[in-house]
Amino acid sequence: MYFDQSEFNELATRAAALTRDIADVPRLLRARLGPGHDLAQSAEEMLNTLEQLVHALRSYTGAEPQHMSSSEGRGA
Amino acid sequence: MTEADYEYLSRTLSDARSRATEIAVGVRSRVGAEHRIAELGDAAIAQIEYVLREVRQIAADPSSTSQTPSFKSAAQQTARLPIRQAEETDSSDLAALLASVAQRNSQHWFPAFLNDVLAQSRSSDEITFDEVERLLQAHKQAFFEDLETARRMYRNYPHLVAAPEDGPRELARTGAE
Repeated sequence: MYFDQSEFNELATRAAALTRDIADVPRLLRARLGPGHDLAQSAEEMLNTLEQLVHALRSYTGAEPQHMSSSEGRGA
Repeated sequence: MTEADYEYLSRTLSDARSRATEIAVGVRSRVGAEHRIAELGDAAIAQIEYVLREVRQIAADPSSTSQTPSFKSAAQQTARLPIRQAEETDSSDLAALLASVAQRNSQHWFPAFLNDVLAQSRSSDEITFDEVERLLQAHKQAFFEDLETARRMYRNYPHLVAAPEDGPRELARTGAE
């Protein structure tokens, strides 16, 4: 499959910007609803998944396994 | 949560869903839908949608969040508890101080901090400087994180802040006192 590193760098940059912009959401939900609230924890998982996506995009080299494990990246 | 919180969360999450979808489409077109990175993108979209849906549900029916106390009710409880505890120990000066702070602002960090200190002292029968410093540092960090969030909300959506004293200025004021 065609692979262009610059395209993945661009996607990683956009994903990192999105992660930064959404980082307030779990913080705000924790402050308003309490750290133990389901929604605050779901928002935390959402942020973790985005961080994993950024990491995966940054480290992609064009020759990686095709599937993730069933427990990885799954949340709500 | 306040109406401004709901507005901010709804707008931020809606925007995030659109951006995440664009990224996921870009990833899929390059690595295929079955690749783990594409599946991570799909998982992120699903989680954003879930949080957005839940936020909207709570906004429509605030009682649906009753499994854990809301920020407002928790703040009111922490504002009340230290006063009652101070009265039990016959420390009228402390009670008066807490009542004064709580009356001015039920979400002030100081009553909540003292409440934590008292809870800690009850649970361990002793309190150390290190423990009080740790609790104070935790409240200070939480306060400034919340303040930074409020500032970002105000910068991005100034029209959501109805009156200056309800917005970041109020938060800044409570921390400075």
